[in-house]
Amino acid sequence: MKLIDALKLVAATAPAAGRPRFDVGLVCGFTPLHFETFLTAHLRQRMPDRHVSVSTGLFGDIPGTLRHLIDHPVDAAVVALEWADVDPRLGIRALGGWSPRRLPEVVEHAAMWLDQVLQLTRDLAATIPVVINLPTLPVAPIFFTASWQASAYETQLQANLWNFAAAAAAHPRIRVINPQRVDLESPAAERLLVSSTLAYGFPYQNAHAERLAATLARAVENRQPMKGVITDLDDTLWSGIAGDDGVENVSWDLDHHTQGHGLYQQLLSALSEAGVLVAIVSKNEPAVVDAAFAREDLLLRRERVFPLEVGWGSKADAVGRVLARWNVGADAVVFIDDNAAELEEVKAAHPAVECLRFPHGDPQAIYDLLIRLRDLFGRTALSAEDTLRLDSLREATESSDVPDQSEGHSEALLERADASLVLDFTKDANDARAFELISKTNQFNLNGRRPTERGWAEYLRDPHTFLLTATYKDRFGALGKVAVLAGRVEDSRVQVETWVMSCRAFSRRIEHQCLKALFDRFAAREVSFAFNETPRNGPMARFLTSLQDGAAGAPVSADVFHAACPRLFHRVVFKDACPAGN
Amino acid sequence: MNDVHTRLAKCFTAVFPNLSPAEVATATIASVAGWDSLATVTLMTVVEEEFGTAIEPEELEDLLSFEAYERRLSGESPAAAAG
Repeated sequence: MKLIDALKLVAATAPAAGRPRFDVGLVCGFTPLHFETFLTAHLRQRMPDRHVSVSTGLFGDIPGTLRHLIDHPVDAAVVALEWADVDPRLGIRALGGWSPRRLPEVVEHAAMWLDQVLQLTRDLAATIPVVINLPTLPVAPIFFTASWQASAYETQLQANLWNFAAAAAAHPRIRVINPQRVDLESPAAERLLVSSTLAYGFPYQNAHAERLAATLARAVENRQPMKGVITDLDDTLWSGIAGDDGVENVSWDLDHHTQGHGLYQQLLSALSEAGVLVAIVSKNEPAVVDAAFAREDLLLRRERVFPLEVGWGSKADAVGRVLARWNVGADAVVFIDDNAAELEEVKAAHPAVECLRFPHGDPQAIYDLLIRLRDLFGRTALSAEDTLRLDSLREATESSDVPDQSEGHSEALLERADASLVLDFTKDANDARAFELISKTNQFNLNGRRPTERGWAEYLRDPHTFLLTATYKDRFGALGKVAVLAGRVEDSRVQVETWVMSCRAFSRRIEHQCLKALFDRFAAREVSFAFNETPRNGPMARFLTSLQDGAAGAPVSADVFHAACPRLFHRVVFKDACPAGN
Repeated sequence: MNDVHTRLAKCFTAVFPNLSPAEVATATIASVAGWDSLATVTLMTVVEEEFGTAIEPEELEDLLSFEAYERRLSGESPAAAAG
């Protein structure tokens, strides 16, 4: 993106009525100039449903700007550090002296400054997400060594910076930009612009400012990761055709010059452990595939895959069946195959699925694919629920095969499930899983509203609001925290304003139990719902209309609810101290 | 209207989106609201990008109008226009 394009984009995306604001605080020591323009443009491009604005503090005073943001919160903050901020003598706009005698003092001062910024950043991250970019420009030639040699002082300086980064990255709301990625996207020699640094205090070449802004905007947006990957087998998961070459002759190792396939298996296995769904779609004989998965050296174990669609029918149809069993949107799924025709067929049938070719025989391209997959499936942090996803999905799919079903599960199955629910009314704005559910759930979602982290924290601070989370387990395993309700209580009337539930938790009557908890806890005569139809919240609409005839979202009285509520079999444990009506 | 004029006009309207097409050719630092020091640097950078040329910081004191930029980009002295 050129600066002229960024300016036009910013001018064309002026505030519009109806779009919620998303304010970003840019914290930097230099004059932000075009960097601010590029950041605004990239953020608006990535978040078209919000009106994004970027504000800056007092240039040159990063601690002061952080303190200001702590007192005047925005929706997210970007901290763009450079060495001149850590100590002005490490930049080229100050003439504080480069005496070798003062190097220990420079290093010591840098450590103290970084400690201060770390503490302030943590304070700020108590309520909003903070993105930190480590210095991208070279340290000024302050050290007595030649520029090709790293002195002990310089390495200590770098060690201090990395200690700062490690401590910051451990915070759940702080995202540290990976310098390796910045290095890949913006060559080091094309970053510093000395004339502009000296004349205007703006240190970046335009291309660097643009690339850095693009990276930071991606981190601020923090897009929800993809949920599932569907992979082909022959010449994709392994090298060779299992049916033709024999199961024992397909390979994925250094000896056969097919290591790329081994790395691919390794990545899929790791993604699966992190909660990504992995399925197989392959034109093959089922017995051949069974034999291949019986090989001890296969890095992606059979139990990590669900489901396997193996046969000679259309791959597009097979992908459709996988999507149905997973019950996830096509836009959250990647399909990988070495055959361009198969990819085209799947893309035509499922346009929202991301179709990627496996570059069989090209190790460099395979490596690039692995990086691409990491980016598509990358998560800020792993939760306990991520590790439970595959087992609960498999269990849900298998139990749904049972005949005599009622809402997906048979009455007998529900009764024998030995299900327990922990219902927690604690208003915890730092509950990352609750916020994640609100941010990504589509189907059982009351209205599709996605608050910012700041907005969510402010909402929960309101004394008239309540929060209810539900954590489920049964004899088939634990699902973890699966539902979140939030709303207001006034005069025995409850207004539910947020209600989401993971699709993995459908058909267990958890939604009935949650609603019952609201009636009981608040002695409510009536519960109303801020329902709004979205393209994907049909399951929520069906649940609401199942309670009473009429429009989804119409208020439900206690009598109507109790008459409509089916038998509930859960053992319920309440965990909180929220008084009724508070 | 020559190519330099047209491309320069695009640069001006990108930096000063409230400027009407009729006002562009006569734009000066005195006539355009918002033409401050930050806008001066932004305009210079946009022009550098568009024309693939480098403008030295010390040249900016003469580049105070559309006409001055046009003369500079045509290889003439911008000072004549500024003065």
